[in-house]
Amino acid sequence: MTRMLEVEQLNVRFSLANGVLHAVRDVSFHVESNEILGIVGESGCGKSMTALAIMDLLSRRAKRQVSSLKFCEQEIAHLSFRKMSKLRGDRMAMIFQEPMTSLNPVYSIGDQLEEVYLRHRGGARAEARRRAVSLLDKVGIPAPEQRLRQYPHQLSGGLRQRVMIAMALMCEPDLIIADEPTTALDVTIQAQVLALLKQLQREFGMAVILITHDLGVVARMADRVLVMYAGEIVESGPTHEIFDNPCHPYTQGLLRCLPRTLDSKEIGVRLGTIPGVVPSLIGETRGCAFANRCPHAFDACEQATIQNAVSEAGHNYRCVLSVDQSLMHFRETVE
Amino acid sequence: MKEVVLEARELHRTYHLSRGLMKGRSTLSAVSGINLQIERGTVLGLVGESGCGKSTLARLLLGLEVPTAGQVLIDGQSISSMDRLERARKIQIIFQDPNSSLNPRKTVLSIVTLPLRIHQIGDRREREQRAVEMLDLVGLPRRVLGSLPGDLSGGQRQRVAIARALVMRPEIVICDEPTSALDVSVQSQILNLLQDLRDQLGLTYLMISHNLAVVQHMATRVAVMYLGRIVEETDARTLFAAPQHPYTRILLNSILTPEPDKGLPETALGVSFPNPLDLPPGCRFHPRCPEAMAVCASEVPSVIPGQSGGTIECHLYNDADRLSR
Repeated sequence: MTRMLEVEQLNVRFSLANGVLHAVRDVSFHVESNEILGIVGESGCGKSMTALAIMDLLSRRAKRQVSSLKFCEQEIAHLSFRKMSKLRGDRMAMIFQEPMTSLNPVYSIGDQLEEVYLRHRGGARAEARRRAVSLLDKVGIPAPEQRLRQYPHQLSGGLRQRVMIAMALMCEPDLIIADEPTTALDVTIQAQVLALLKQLQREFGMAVILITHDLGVVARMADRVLVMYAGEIVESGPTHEIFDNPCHPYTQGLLRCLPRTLDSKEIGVRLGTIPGVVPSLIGETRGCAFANRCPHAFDACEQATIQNAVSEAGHNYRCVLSVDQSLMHFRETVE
Repeated sequence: MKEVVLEARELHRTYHLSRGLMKGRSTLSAVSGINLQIERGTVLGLVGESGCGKSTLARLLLGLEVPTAGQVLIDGQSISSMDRLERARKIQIIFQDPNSSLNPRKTVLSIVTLPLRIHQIGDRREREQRAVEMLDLVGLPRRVLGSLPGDLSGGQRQRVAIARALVMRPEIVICDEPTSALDVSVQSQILNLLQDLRDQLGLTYLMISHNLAVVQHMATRVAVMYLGRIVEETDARTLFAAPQHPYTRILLNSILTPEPDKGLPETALGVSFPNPLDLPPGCRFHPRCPEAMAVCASEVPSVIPGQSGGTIECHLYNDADRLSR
C-alpha cells in the first residue's frame, strides 16, 4: 500500500464582515491506495470544504492554507491552476451529490463523457466513444450506445448518478472523492450505487474518499473513518473501532441519535439527542469545540489544549477523557 | 373496535399528459385504487420509492387535489362535503423542507398565527397568547416570536412548522418526510417531539418517509406503496420482523444500519425503474421481482388478507394462483 494522498494541517478560512470564519481547522489525514476513507459529520462540519480544498476548487472568497498536500508522494499544494486542471478529472476525480446540477443539461451524455477523455488523453473521438460505451456498460447501464445520445433529463436519478461515476472513471483516476454520492437517491438505488462504487474501487485499486452524513453508509462502505465536528477531525480510526468503541463523546452522541432498526425490541423508546447547537466558527476557539454540548464536559475542556489520546490500530480521538472513562460513559448510556 | 379517523376508499387519481402536438394524450395513473384506514391515536407509516405516488396520496387526503374516483372520509364524513376551512381544522401537514414551507419575510408570530387569522379566531391578544402556548409546546423559547425563519436553525424552523400545523388543534397530521432535510442529531429531537405531541394531544399521524428506520421507530402500522398501489399493509412490528411481499423484503434489505460487519446488501432489483406512463401488464412489480412466476406477467394480483389484519397484493400468497401455476 502506498499513500495516495497526504494532507497536513489544512485550514480553510473565509473573511467575513464580522470576523474570520474557520471552516476547516488544522485537518491532517491520509488515504492509502486501494482504500475507502469515510468522512462523516453533520452539515457545516467542514467535510465538503475539505474535499473542495484538496481539489483546489474553493470559491475565491475562501483562503486555503496547508503545510503539505501530497498526491502520489508529490507536493501539489503550490501547483498553478493550469497544472491542477490537468490533474483534476484525470488522476483525481470527483462525484457530486446531485447529478442533475453537475451534468450539463444541453449536452448529451456521450458528449460529456467523451469530453473528459479527449481533454486529458487527446486522440480520436471514436476511441473516446468506445471507452464511454464500455464504462456505461461497466456501471450497469443497459443499451449504452443508445444512452450516449440521450440528455441528462431523460435519465432517472439512479442512472444519472451512474453516469457521474462513469465520467469520474473515464481516465482511470488514482483518487476519487465522492461527496454525498447517494443522498439524493432512494434506499434501493442507494444500495445498488454503493455496491457498484465499492466493486469498481476494488477492481481498479483506487483510493476513494467518501463524504457523507449517513453513519450507515460509512459503516458499510469505509475501511477507515474520520468524524468531523466544527471544522476539526474529532475521531479517526478503522471503521470497526469507531463503531464498536467510539471514544469521542460526539461520535457516541451521533450513534445514540440513530433510530435502531430491525433488532429493536421496544417500539416507542426515546432517541438520544445532542443538546445545544454547533458553536460559531467565527474567531479563534479555545479548548474543545464540543465542550458546550458534551455531557461529560468539565473545566479542563474549556481551557486546555486537547491531547490526541491514541489507542492501538491508529484509532485517535480529541478529548481529555481517557479511553476507559469515555467507553464507560458510552456503555452506561447504551445499555 | 377502535375508531377509524381517516379513511380512503378506492382512491384514484390520474393525470392526462400531453405528448406533444397532434399526438394525443397519455394517462399517468399516480394513485390507482387505494384503500386505507387509520385508527385514532396511531401512526401509519407510508413507504415507497420516489415517484410511487406517496405525495399525491397525501395531497388527496388533505383535499388539495380532487380524486378522479373514490373518496376520503374524516370521522366518517366525506371531505368533498366539507368546505376548505372545516377540512383544515381537522387535517394538517408538516412538509419536508422548512426552508421552503415558511415565508422568509414573516416573523414566527405571524407564521404561527396565520391559521387563526384565516379562521377568524380570537383577537390579536388571544392569538398571540395561543402562539406563545404553541411555542412552549414545541420547545421553542418565547424570544423567537419576533424572529424571521432565516435567523433560526433548521431544527428550530421545523419546530415552527409543527407549531403552525398544530395551532388549529387538528386531529390528523400528515408528516411528509419531516426529518429528511435535518441532521441526525436534530432529527432525533424532532422525532422525540412528534412522539410527545402525539401522546399529549392524542394526534393521529400519517408518516411519509423513505427512511425506513424512522418509520420503524415511529409507526404502529406500515403501508408499502409501489407505483400507485399499496402492495402490503400490516402491523409495524410484524412487517419489520417478517416482511412478506418481495418488494417489502427488498426495501428492508436495503436499509444500511451502522453495522460495519454486514457489508452492502445484495438488491435483487434490476436497474430499470418502470415507466409509470406505460405500466407493465399483470403485477406492476413483476419485471423487477426476483420471485416472479408466469402468472405475474398476465394477471393482476388481487388484494388478499395478510398478516395481523393487514392486506397483501401478491400471487405468491394466493393459494389459487399457486395451484394453477
